[in-house]
Amino acid sequence: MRKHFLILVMMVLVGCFVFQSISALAVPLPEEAKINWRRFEGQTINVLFCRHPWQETVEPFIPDFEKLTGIKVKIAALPEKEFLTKVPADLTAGTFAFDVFMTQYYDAPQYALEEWTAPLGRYILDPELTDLDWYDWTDFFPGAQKIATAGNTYEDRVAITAEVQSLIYRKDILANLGLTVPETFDELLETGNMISEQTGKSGVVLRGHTTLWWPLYGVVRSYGGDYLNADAQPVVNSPETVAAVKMWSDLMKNAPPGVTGFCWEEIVNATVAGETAMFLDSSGLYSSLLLRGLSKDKAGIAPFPAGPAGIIPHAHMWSISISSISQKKPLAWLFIQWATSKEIQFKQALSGKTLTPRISVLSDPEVIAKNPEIVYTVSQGLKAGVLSRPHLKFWKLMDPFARSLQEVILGKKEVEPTLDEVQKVWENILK
Amino acid sequence: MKTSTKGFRLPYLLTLPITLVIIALVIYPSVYIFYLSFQSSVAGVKNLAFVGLKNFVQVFSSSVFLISVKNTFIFALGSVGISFVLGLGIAYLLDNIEKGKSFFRIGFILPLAVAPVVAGLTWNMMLNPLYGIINYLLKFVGIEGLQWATHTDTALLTVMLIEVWQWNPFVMLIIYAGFQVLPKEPLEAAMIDGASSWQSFIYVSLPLLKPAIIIAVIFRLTDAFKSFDVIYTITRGGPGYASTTLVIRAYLEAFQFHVLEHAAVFGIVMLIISLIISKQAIKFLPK
Repeated sequence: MRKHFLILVMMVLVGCFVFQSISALAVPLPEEAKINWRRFEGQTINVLFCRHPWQETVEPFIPDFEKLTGIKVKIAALPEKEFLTKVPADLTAGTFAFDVFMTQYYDAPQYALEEWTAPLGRYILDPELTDLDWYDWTDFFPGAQKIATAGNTYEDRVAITAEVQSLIYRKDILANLGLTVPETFDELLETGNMISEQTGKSGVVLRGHTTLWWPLYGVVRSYGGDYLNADAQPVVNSPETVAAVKMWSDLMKNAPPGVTGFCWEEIVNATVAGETAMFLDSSGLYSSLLLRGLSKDKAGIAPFPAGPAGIIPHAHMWSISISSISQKKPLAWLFIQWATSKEIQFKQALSGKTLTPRISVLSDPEVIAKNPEIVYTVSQGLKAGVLSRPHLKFWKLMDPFARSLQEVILGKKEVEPTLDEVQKVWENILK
Repeated sequence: MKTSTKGFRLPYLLTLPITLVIIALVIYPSVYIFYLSFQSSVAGVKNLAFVGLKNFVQVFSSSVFLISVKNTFIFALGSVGISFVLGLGIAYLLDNIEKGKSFFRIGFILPLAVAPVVAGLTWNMMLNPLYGIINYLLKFVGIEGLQWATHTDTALLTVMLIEVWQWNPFVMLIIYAGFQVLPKEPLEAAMIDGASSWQSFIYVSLPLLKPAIIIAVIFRLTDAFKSFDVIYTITRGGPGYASTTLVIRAYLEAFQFHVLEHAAVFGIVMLIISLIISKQAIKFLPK
């Protein structure tokens, strides 16, 4: 796999020099779209963002949208925890004051049930508002296209980010010990154990916080298990899931003290500080390592390890939607169309802070040359990556699961009886 | 006759604004919570359906509910109990020291000025098992590896101690104020009768301080039962359910799981507990 990777990088770098100017020209500009961008000139829309590298990288281009359309965009941005609390609370109360806002696909069934988001179909299919040839929906990765109707809902969202679970590691720690990047879970455990024994630090870690279900999902799928089956019935105590959680539990024996408080931020901080050498989480966190000052010589990213069922990482994509109570839905759609266009997503990816879910962007030589390791990993990961199954009671289900597994980490419970117990709790919740 | 009617109506007119505010902010939400607790939001908040006592049965039969009730009582009684002992001790010492009284008084009151969320975040950093200063200092006296808020054995105790740190000054202040107004005669009489300092404190000062102590304990107890900020910022009720209290669970049900009817049931349970405590407390208040 590493050999393939190096060949690919070499080819891309060569290609980059040849096609650099061509690629820049190949990105279609908004002016080329056969729609009247200035149709709603002089009006204003309100946009709510969650603080995220995507928000940071799109905001500088918003004056371009205002210039293009004559529409004024008022932006508000909230930290993630506040955002995820405020949005449903305001939508429930009917006081939500934004036309466009960021969404997560786990919430799709809830949002569709409450009709908090507007169906986008009528705007996408309106030739006055959308130039389908210019927008090129098929350019989105298949997984990103599925986000639009995640949870078998109506089409109410467009994917804006491309994140996939990857192995992120400290190159220097592995190099100092003469270790290679693990490619399977057995190798990962072996390498993690060796690092822990030889350095006294944590060899490998995954989240131990109540959000631990996110990185664990890729492990479970790679072992052939799942949380819910296709009929939304719990299968959390299946032999495959039990085997995956046992592996996860063994990996977590290498975790630093206090890991039950570790969400992704704590893992990033521990990795930058050299307290842990490897972790399995969103590819976006590779950029977080760099943003916190770790050099590319020390920060590495590689594809997700293989389990008995193959390499099946958990994918994640933030999306963007229109509020159903917005009085300016056509304007809001123009904004979304522009923000998710090839040109803007290309510019965002070039910043190196975030990757976007368009095939053309992730295969662009200039984007690859900017960050070859992460682009290769994400491109590969998105081909095999899976989304967890959204459910109306998703968060209610994940809570007892995560909390029980925290007790497994602390050695208070065994894996198998715990998952049997969770299975019963889930069956009860889903009655 | 006209004057008397006017006089009769005036108090109602004067209290009307505050009555309307209370109806809007207290009565309406309380009634709505009761209404919500008998509904199901399975078809969406806009399509609530009456389900009788189903929500109460579901909540009461869950193991999380019993754990939440147990943790709430341990947290409230434990933190108020420790605050009382510490507050009384510090107030006694402050009352008896000769020098630096103002300095210590201000020093002890400082935690009250810190916002609970800020206190929670700061303590969270200090107690971090990996980088926190507390474990770093404890290492010098041979204590290693305490996981504080991140272990099921210590999480509840940790948040209780932070609650004590934050609110102990409140108890101390009220009791200290009680010390300031103690009549001197009974203490002098006890001294003449040969009572020791300890006997004077236990048999004379403490009974005289009873009104101040009761007020401090009642205020703290009602507050501790619904304490949220510190627990949420530090543990979010975890790990496992180790520090899950009723208010934390109500919050999670409402804002994370979006099951408003279950949150309403937790809210009603908290309301009933608060009413029982308040009713019992009123009996002890000075007439």
